[in-house]
Amino acid sequence: MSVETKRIKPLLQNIFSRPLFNALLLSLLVLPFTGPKTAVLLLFASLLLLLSAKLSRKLSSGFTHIKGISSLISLISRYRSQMLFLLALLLCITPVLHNSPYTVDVLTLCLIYSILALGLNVIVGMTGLLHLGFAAFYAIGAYTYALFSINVGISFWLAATLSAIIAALSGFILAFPALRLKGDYLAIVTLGFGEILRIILNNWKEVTNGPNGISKIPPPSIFGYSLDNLGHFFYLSLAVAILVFVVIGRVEQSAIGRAWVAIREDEIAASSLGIDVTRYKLMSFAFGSFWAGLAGALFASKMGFISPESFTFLESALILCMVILGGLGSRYGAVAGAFILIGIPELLRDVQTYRMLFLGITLIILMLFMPGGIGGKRAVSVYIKG
Amino acid sequence: MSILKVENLSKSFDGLRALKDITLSIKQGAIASIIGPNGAGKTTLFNCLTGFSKPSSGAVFYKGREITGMSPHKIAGIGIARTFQNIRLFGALSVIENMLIGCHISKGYGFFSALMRGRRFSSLEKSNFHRSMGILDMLELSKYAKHLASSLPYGLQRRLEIARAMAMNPKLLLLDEPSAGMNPSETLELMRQLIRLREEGVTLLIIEHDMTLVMGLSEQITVLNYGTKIAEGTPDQIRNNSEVIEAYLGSANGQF
Repeated sequence: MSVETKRIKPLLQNIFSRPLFNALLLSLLVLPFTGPKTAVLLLFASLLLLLSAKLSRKLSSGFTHIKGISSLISLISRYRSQMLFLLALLLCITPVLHNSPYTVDVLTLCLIYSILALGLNVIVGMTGLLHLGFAAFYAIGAYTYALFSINVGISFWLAATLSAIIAALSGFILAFPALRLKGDYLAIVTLGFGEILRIILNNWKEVTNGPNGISKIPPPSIFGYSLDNLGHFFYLSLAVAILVFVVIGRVEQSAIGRAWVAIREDEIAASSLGIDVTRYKLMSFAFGSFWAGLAGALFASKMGFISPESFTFLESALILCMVILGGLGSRYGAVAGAFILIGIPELLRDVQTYRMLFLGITLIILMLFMPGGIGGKRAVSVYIKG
Repeated sequence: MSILKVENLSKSFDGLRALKDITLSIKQGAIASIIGPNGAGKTTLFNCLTGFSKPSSGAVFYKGREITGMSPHKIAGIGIARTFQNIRLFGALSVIENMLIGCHISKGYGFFSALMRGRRFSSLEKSNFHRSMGILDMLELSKYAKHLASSLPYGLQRRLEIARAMAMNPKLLLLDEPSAGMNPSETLELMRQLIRLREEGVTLLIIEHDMTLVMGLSEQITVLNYGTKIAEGTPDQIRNNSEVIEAYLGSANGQF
């Protein structure tokens, strides 16, 4: 490090640690886009947020001798992802929200993305394999569901199961050659796979109807009772999301989940302990893709229409963002990440054009203050009853 | 009876012959050591025994069964555990999680019993947990069970790596410089614990530079230099072997 940077670095740190400076910078940044009124509002909001963050840090360091306060603060910071998760759950079961079809629609979307984020979290967060083509498996699930339910006419449950299984098989098939590669190279192969699949969907007109997509996909039904109502569909998604959450949690808290984490931490040590690294990576890929397939089926039956446009690289990147924002390897975090990344742009609909800018700023702030993600503190993967 | 037999093992990395015709036999239940100056090929030998590198020629037999060129996890599965010269713990995980990952080969259940969490799953998980705690107790680590592995002091990390290897229920344990970086009193404690492991019925093969440990524990010492075996025998024989003294201290003729 040169002398110059040595001198500048603490200076910068000093300035940036001042909440007022940060808040001013933020509001000046958005001033040209939003006009003075929103900018001032943002100034106060961010100042409040930054000050409270600083205050809580001061409190937790200054009041260490008072047991109650410091333990409360550490409790809050330790379980923040779980609390956000609870908030998401609460949001889902609040009846007032269900008066507006728009809110129900957004919440349903949040749930579908939660399933996707939970699935990708198995591959990226737990096993540590960077996967940039997850939307491909989402697409495989959606198209499988659409084609089977329209052409073959099988029921929702059978078609959804089939979608998940076929997505898992595709994950297995992709992983077989791809797992010879590591890190960045693996990421590029998965990225390529995602693009290839999208191009196939676009061009294989006889089967996928090309860019025009497939429409008139039947909604799910239970015992012949069709769930075409938005509210019914919402509860179906909620049930499926909870099921996925529980199932993944059980696998996580077993020798299988621990083997995945061991591979993420140190492949050589893992294999010296008798873990078949290739086998467990394949398993992780297939298991994660399985849930993408299921989410695809839900999405297709919710929308009634799918086209390749819904499964671009941007979609893969969005799901990856949810996992990273939630904290790699944290289930609670993955759900929280999905709700934040789907919910915030919807809340910002009022600012119209600039909502993506706001989303970006929110992400930067979140990652600045929680570099390990929301669920950065990892849950212990041991389950001992009694 | 010998638990491990190495016959004419050689390993070359392109031009460099790291091991030349090593022949070795380890008695069951013994504590054996491999010593030699830096770069003598000790760790390469360990890597060949545990499947992390494939020998160029020669054969390795474990309990009479050939294991040459088998993959590391399979070798681990039949009862050979090892530790690493540069500690390879799962630093971001707790001590007990490290131990439970060490129990992997005796997990005894598949994907669906993990999903169902039936009685079989619970009892197996519980027994692995108690076995892990037992090993931690034996190595005086149980009070750190919930600590992060990376938060332990260096000496305890080395010990935890041994504990994790013991969780595999190995018959043969290969230790790569277990006392590296320890002070004399820690080394003495380690020696005491290694004797305990032997009493559990584990055969130990140790790479070590610390002569107190090597001479104090081993029944059999093998000396490597430049990839060849230059001596083999009991501590007394090795101490008085002129070739060994030369390898460590240089020639007695006083040449520079």
